[in-house]
Amino acid sequence: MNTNNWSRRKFTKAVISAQALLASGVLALPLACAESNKTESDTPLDKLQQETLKFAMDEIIPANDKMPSASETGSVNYVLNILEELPDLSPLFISLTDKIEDQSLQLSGSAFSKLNSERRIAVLTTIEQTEPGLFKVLKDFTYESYYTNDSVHKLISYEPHPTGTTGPEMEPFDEQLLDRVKNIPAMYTKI
Amino acid sequence: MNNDDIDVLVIGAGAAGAVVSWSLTEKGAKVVCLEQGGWVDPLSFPSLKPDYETHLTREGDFNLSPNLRNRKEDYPVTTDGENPPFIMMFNAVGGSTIHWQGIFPRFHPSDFKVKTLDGVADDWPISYWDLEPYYEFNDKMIGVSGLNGDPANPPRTKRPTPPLPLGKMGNTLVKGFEKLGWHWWVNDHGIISKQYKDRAACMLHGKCMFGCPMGAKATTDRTYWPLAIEKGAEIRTWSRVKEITVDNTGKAKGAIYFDKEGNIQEIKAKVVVVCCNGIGTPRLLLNSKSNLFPDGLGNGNGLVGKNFMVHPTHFINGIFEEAMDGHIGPMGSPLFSQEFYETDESRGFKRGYMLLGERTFGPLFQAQDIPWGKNHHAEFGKIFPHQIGLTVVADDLPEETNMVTLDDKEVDSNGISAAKATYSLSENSKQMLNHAVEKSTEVLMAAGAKEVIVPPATNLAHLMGTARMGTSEKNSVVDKNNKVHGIPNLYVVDGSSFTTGAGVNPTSTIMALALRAADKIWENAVHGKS
Repeated sequence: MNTNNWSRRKFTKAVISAQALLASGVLALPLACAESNKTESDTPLDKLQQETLKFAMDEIIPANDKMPSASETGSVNYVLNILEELPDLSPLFISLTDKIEDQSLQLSGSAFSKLNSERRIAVLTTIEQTEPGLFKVLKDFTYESYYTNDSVHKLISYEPHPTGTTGPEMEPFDEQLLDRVKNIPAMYTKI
Repeated sequence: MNNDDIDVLVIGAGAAGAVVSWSLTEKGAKVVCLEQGGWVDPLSFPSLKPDYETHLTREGDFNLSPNLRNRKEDYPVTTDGENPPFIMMFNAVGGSTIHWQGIFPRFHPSDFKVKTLDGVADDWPISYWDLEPYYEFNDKMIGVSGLNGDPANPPRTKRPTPPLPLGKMGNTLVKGFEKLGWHWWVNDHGIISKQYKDRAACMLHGKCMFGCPMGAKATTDRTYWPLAIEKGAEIRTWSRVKEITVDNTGKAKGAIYFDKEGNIQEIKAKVVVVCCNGIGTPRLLLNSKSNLFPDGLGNGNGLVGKNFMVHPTHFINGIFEEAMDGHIGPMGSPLFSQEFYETDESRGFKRGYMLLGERTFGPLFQAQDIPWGKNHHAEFGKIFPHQIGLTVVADDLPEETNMVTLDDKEVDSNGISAAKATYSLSENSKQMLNHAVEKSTEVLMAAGAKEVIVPPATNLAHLMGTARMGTSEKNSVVDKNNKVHGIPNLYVVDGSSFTTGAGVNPTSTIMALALRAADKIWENAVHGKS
């Protein structure tokens, strides 16, 4: 984004190179958060925390006969990548998984991953009501991972058309559509 | 440029600042512009990335709100009142045109004379016809796309580039408007549909609010600024103005600002022009206190910051059985209706509103209100891709109780007091929004919607009215030429100088007003004084 040493001259050069690249229609930058191959020791969430997150994300967006669940599209890895980029968020996710496990023990006396779906939903519903801010972190990042995922885009027939690729085909405006309106007398107040 | 040679100091490099700087430089003035942000690298725009939508939903460097973006060059804006607005602005060369959708309607002649016509608010001291040549000139400068001949507006010349496409969602809305026999027209846009000057035509990617690296969208860093700099204007980026200085006779002397390193600098000029828009301008005037002006500059009558207007807004969605393409194509609005724009007393409110056919963002944005859990996919499948949006932009009449003040706790990264925006909807606005919901629902159903979703009203936060232009020193901050009352060489040129807000997007009027003000500054304060 803006850098302190960005100058008018650099800006002009960037405009020229951007137009050249964009005109070629091939420039599409990669997803900010690609697949992760991190080992457990590299990550800010341990194996149990990742498992809690996986089961929670799969209750937020579960699978059905046509669509995969959140974790099947790599939602946990998505979060791990974000935590790598934004380590300040790690305590938030640790609080979230801790809260889920605490609530699970309190409601059902068992680890979240061992509960059936109905009980997991009850745990998450309680957190949604008692800790809405924390729950929003879970929901927002689950949705974000899911609806920026290329495989999900294909399943819902969404073509993102990022700038730099060829744009969508659209019919030019048909002026005949305005034939009736063109004959309306002036509607504005003349003053 | 040597600090002793400066004719005009412009503060703010957005829509108005760019226009004023270009126009005065073109005439021969020596102009320096101070901008608290920098140049934005077009290859850094989120629009280039498939996950662009995360930049809208997540806090971070391209969020629409300075409070969620939190960059060094942003300043906090706290909010209060019954209907606190969602504040949108961008601090960089180009200002909020970097984010802006490029929707480019004009005010109506009646918008300038609401007191005379409807007995509400105040008349502007100028008319539509005073601005009309400047609207025309600006349209040609930036290459507006659209179609002339709209019966809801005064005649205008052939648009420099043809209209942008309607798409399936636009054509579906047309069916609704035609069925009801209501007015509609294809929108003017500050987005070129054909190559224009040295800018490439829009390729319809639809990521306009996430930055347009093509330059098809008329951001002022790609339109006016290159021309101004070529003619000799100097822009000092990363320069945040702390206060405007005055001499012992009460004339503006220049400004004190923080440079990139955070060092205090002083600059002097014969004329000072403030172009920081509806929040930044009153914030700066109120922060510019001195023995001569203990309540801030131009604030002898206490009106700086008062009469804050934002455009009450509704985003209404029709759900259709058929698949729609509302997420495809330029993010601006393909068409609009001004069927209910002028006052009709039988509706129970004064003035009126515009309906904008509104394209939507992608699936992440559309999923935001979909419930989580086992019904998630079924609910998502009902709305995606089956939505058509209609946005209501309601005329916002000025109220002294809606205001921008200095926040007594928050400061920016240089320690300067932040702004606080207080806003509550008037009864007139509430009645207008209720009417607009009813009419939007009617047209969406006429177009074939099986369901219409009406979320709570919001406030679009176009930022206007806080240093208003007026017919007398008692009812305003600036005169008909944008000069601050009582200070012979200080001008305010931006949305804050609007007397009323009208029911349309403000940028074309901000730019036309800036072109006119530059002429007046040249005639009265620069050339006329040389």
